[in-house]
Amino acid sequence: MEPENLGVLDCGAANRLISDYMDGELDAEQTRLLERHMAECGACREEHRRLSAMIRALGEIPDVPIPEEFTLRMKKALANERKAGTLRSRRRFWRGAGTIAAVFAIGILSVLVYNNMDSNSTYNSEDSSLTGQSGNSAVRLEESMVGDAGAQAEAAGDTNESADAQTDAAGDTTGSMDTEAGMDAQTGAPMNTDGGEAGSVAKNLAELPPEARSEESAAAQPEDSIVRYAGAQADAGMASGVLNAPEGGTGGFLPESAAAQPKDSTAAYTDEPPSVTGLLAAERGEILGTAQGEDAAQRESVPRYPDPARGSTPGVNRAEQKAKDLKNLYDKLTKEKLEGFTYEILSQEMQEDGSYLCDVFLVSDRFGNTFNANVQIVGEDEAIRVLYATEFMGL
Amino acid sequence: MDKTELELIEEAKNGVESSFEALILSCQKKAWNIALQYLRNENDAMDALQESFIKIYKNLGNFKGESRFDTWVYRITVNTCKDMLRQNEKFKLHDSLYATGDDGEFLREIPGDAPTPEEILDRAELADELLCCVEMLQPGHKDVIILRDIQNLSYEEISETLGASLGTVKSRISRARGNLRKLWLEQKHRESV
Repeated sequence: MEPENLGVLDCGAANRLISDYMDGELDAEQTRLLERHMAECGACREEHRRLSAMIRALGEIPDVPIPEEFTLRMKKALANERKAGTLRSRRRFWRGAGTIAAVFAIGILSVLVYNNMDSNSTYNSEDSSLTGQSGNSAVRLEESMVGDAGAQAEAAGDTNESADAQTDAAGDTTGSMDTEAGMDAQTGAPMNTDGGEAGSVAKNLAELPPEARSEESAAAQPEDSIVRYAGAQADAGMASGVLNAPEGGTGGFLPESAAAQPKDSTAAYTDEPPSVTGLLAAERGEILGTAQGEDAAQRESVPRYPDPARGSTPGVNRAEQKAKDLKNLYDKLTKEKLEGFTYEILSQEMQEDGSYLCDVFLVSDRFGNTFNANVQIVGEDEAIRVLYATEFMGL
Repeated sequence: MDKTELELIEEAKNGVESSFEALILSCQKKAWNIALQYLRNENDAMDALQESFIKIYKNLGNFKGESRFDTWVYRITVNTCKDMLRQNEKFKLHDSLYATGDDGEFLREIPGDAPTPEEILDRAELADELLCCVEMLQPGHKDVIILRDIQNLSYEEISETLGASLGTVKSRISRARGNLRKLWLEQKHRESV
């Protein structure tokens, strides 16, 4: 409150000072002026008396003790959170460990394949024989992985999944995580049964951007509970997703390439670690569709490499691809909209009517304004709008 | 922030359950009463408080110590309550928080020097009247009345809780009290007619 002119206060000025006066927030001069005015002005004196009575009555509103049942409720809720957090930690640990193992394996495999390719004059025939064998083993490996990948994709597909479902998914995939993660992280491993592609593993690997190959460095990043989406951070290759962890040290970063590639929404989920196939899809780029002679439903969740030897990709479901492209667009627009904010994506999915719905828990903005509030982002006609945002959010 | 609180926070971040509980214990009573005064219903307030504490638990790593821990807790609690009020229109008041039992005794212990039952009753009725009027204030004014005049937080604590400057807090308190007094006078006038 601006200091009043020295001298005499009028009633308007006095009334503006009374509230601060009652809280002891006036300086000595203001206090003197106000008290002198109230000594001479019955109306202002009465105003002060009534306001004081009201504030005193408010202050006398008694505190209510916390119900006993709340303590038990809280203990149970925290125990559930810890359990969910332990599961998330365990899955991240296995993924990280598998990734490191995969990096070594891919190096060995690449050398073997490259040497094998290099030593043969007729590339195509060798390639066929190679893939004939590796393709078979790839089929067996992939069939075991598809089930796990499907379970993971399903678990990661719902960010509101219960801890029990997480447990099931973790239990199903833990045993095979090493192999699965290893194969995924290779990004050149025979994840398909098309045939003719194992021979191009090394070539595809060489085509990948460096950051996609160094997954172990992303897995080894220090963990944090919430990560800001920011241009600078994204450029530095840090996670561009938001993860929620019960304790510091149990969160994790998504690899930049995984989260930035708008090919699979699982990479942007918060409470769930991204599915292996999601990461794989993001790092590889295009999801090409089903191979011939395979179960289309099984193939759906397993991305494929483009086969340079074959040229164009066969069997692409155009409608499905269009829907995926649309979702990727909305995900991208959402990310741009929320740049500079600290937030948590609660859910992010396409609706049956073709619209897009994203629930976001908004923590704060770049200026330090804290909101801790939920907003919704709706996507229609290739544009997004924000619901439930207050004017202070600037959305 | 004193060293003990810092140590507790670091331990809680590292998953020490007892440290988190100790942190929460120091401010849960006030957070509970803040939630109660926003939502005016015990079950709803418990839901809000549980949700708030889970958010605090999950976001401990995000607490940088730039404000006090308890004001950070109150901030999350206030925002959670506002979220619930916004999302669910059915959060209209009100059960009286100061109900009496079948034989007239008060279910809430009212502290202070109220020597007669009549005075206790008067205070309880007055509390309910005022809280009804507080409910009618615009959101920003309701915040400061609850935090300042009911919960007795300092101007600095309110500034941290609401993320507003001290000047904004002061002027808002002044206007909120003026508006509340008008509402209260109007209500008393309606009752007397």
